Amino acid sequence: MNRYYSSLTACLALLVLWEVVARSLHLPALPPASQALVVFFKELPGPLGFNWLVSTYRVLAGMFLATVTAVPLGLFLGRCPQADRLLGPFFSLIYPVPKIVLVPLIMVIFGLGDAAKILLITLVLFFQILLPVRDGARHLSSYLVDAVTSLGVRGLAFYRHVVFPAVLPEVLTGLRVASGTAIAVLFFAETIASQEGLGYYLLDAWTRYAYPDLYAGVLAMSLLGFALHSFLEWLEHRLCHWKYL
Amino acid sequence: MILIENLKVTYRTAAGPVEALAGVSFAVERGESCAVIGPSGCGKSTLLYVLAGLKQDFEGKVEVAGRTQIALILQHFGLLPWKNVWENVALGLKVRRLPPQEVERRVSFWLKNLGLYELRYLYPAQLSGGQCQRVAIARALVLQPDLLLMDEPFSSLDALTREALQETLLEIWQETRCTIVLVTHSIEEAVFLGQKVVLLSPRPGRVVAVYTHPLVGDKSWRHHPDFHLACTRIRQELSRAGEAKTG
Repeated sequence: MNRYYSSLTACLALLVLWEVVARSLHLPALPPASQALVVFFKELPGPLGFNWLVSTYRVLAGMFLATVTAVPLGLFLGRCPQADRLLGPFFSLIYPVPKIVLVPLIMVIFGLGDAAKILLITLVLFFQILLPVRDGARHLSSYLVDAVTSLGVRGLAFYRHVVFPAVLPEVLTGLRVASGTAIAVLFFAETIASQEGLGYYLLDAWTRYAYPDLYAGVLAMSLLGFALHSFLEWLEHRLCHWKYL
Repeated sequence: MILIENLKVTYRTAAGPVEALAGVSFAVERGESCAVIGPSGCGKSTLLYVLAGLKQDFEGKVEVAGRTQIALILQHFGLLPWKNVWENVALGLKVRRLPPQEVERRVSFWLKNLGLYELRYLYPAQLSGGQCQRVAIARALVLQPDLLLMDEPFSSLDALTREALQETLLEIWQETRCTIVLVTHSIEEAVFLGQKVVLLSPRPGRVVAVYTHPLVGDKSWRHHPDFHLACTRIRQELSRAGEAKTG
């Protein structure tokens, strides 16, 4: 509980600092926090809320798709050295490529709608999950494997009771670490020929010189990142509580 | 019950083939407790892995008679850190799809028998080494094994816990009449627990001698004059085998 109070205090301190700096500088590009917050709450039931929901949907869909594809593939590659020898080099080669450079290509192929943006997030998260899952499954303690195999735990039961729980912390950490990058990539994608999403909302406010709107959008995007990060952290503590004993 | 004839195991390593066992032969009767002892790296654990069916590339003959339920207990327990005591013990039964009432009955019985019932919701990280090993023993015993294989099960425990668990194991053995093959590097443990003690030479392992101790199972055996004589005899034989190897 203390951690939540600390976060809340830090958040309030930041808002106060913002308010003080903005009121002393008197710059149109830096409206006070109170002004941004008023717009934020005023716009929340309107365009801001709608665009926020669109972005949230895209991030969650991308996360879901990346998880359901990368986890089984990572488990399979980790426990099947022949397949890993064959496919591993391809993944190692593609992993360091910044996925954002693929934005134009993906938009040409998948259009300007949701599909391209979700696919982009999926791509960013896919490798962040795949490689730790593969390595976790590969480096399972041989002691554990022998002990459990001798109990007759084989096949799917082996994956369910042993491999999957062993790599679950890596899956959730990978998702948590990559969630920030995913939102950054989404912002970029939503600023290109888009009509919806927080990226679009921010770009629109910027072109109108509507600075309080712009900051309301920044607040919404920050809250989206914070909420995702906190949710994944909570999930990790809930599902992997044995790690925190 | 178990017949091993001319068992040879060779590991392929980057530095070339390494012979672990070079023609090991001995037999273990049904209901007998057999301890296998030898210096580190003599292939004791390999022998156990062959018996457990976890290592299948070997030469020679290994026969385990009848439809045998085998259970293996390892030195470092091999408990799943994400399952609590109850779930770890029940795992082998659940994958065999036993009815829940039967799982409940067997798990409760062995947890109570081994003094673990109160700890059933704790995780391995919250247990001591001795408690972890008790959980590993319970996990093996719920399967009602005919053959219990143990790979240095007490070597990472302190002396008092080790002796207490050795006595618990003897009680279980007398209760269940299962066959036990125990691998150890402790001479006292081998003599205390092994009706039959198979002595292996340094790598590659060969049978140097087989001793029998009919008093095993009697709690006073540890304090019997013959116990110390048996320990001395095995210690001398092990030193001789080591010298022969280096000489």
